[in-house]
Amino acid sequence: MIAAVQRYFADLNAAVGAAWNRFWYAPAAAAPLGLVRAATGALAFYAVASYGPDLIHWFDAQGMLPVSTVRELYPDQYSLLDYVSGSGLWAVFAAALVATGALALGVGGRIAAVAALVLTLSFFHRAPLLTGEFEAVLAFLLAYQCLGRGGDAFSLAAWWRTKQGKPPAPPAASNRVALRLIQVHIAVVHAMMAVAMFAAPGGVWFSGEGLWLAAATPGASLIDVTSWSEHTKIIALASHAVTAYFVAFPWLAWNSRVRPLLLAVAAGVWVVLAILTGSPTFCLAMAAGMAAFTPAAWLTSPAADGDAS
Amino acid sequence: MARRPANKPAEIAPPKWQSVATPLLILHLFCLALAVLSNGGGGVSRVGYALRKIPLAPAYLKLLAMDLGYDFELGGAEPQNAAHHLEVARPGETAPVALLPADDVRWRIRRQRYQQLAFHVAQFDDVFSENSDLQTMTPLAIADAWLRDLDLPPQRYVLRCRRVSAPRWAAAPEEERERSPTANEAGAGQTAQGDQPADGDEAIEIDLVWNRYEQRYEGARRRPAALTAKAIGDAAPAADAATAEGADVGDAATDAEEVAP
Repeated sequence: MIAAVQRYFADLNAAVGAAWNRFWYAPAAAAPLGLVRAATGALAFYAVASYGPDLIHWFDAQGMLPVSTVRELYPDQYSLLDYVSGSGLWAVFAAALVATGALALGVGGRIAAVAALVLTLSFFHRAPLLTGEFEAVLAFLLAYQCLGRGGDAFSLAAWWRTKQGKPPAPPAASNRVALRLIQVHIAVVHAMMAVAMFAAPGGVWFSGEGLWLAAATPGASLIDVTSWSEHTKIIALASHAVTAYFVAFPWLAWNSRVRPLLLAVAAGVWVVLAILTGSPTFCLAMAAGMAAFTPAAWLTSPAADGDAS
Repeated sequence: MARRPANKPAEIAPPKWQSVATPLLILHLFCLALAVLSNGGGGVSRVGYALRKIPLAPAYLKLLAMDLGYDFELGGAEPQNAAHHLEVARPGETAPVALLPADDVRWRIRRQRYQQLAFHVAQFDDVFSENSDLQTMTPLAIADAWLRDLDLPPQRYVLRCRRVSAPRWAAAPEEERERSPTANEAGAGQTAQGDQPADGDEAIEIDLVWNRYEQRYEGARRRPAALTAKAIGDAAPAADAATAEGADVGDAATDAEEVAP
């Protein structure tokens, strides 16, 4: 009996260890990570560039958000922008554009990734009062890019490698680690957004009114929805479909057979949400993260395949 | 018939740095779980309170901007889901002199950042309701820079933070609700008025006064009208009693004067 129990735990330990190694360390092609890298770099470039017109208004010593005020409210956050003002702000701004541009183009490898992370987070930490869901998702996408070799695909470096007649970079375990972390984090975001829908005061997502409230908030939707208020059943159906998607994604995304269908549904859902919520940057950031679930076989030739599943 | 062997996935030889990576991965995933548990649902988890005492974990999460619950709300009927904006007006006037975000800010992400700023003004107004210095710190800093940028003459103004909510649906018709044994559509905000825009709470108003010695604006939060009305209501019987007592004191003093040589 004792021997059987010991054998059970030994087998369990071996099985869990093998599954852990397969999940986290099976070498993966760089293509899915490269796709995420290019999208993340582009979004980070856009996020930083959008601070430009208001850089002095917000962050200068005489600006709306003086360092002393922000640090009184957020004492445990650090930013390079805390230490500069005036022309120093523009210097950091320019450096951030260069770093995020290099990340988007796939130049500079992990050095560019780390620089883009530090400089972009400096803008977010300098004024948390200005950040929202987009910055929250972009932050972890940037962080995980520092772990893998995302520059080996969909990059200037990869293009140059091909031009020189060299074979594509081989699959790497570090790519798998980065992809899995992105996948886990995206699944967590979906799960928690589903929780928020169920917990919404007044049961607005249960009644189907949730999507209407998102779209009808003044200045939100990219299209005019005022005439939609009479079609409550159609909007409620769409709301329930969105809720079902957020509930299903964290569970079904790990099944390689269902994943392509789920990604197709996800594309539709996030396009609709981008239009109705008026937050296209947040939806694009989520789409960039979900690119981590794309099978590498869809993006590469068979020789370089190391499936994302 | 021979049993077909079950397909066993191939064993993967982990990389050499696996012994370092695995504990770090576990720590990171633990910190992510800590962030979700301690921030999700308004951050009310008792387990979350305890987990935040773990040294370095909150600092690590803040460093990577991951100290969040990730329970983002796409839409809702609460005041925090409304569209927020700031406006400045002259005292006694309703029409604003300027809006933030201004109408000429067309870049959507810039507009959303200004709306986030206004949202935080409203949020801190509620969170710091017991501390007037912290309550007005952010709006005064914003107003100081904003009015200087607008080149408005330094004088008294009123800074307002307004929220405009989405219009609610009317309750479903009675005959539809009767089909459901548990239908309860007397939820918050649903009225028989149809899709009337609800302006939510009254605007947060801060009276701005120019301090010419320190060359900056100072200000105080106007008390919400409901609280003022309540205070007046509570004070009225007390004032009546004080008036009566004052009359008695006055009479006594008059008597004293009459008595004293």
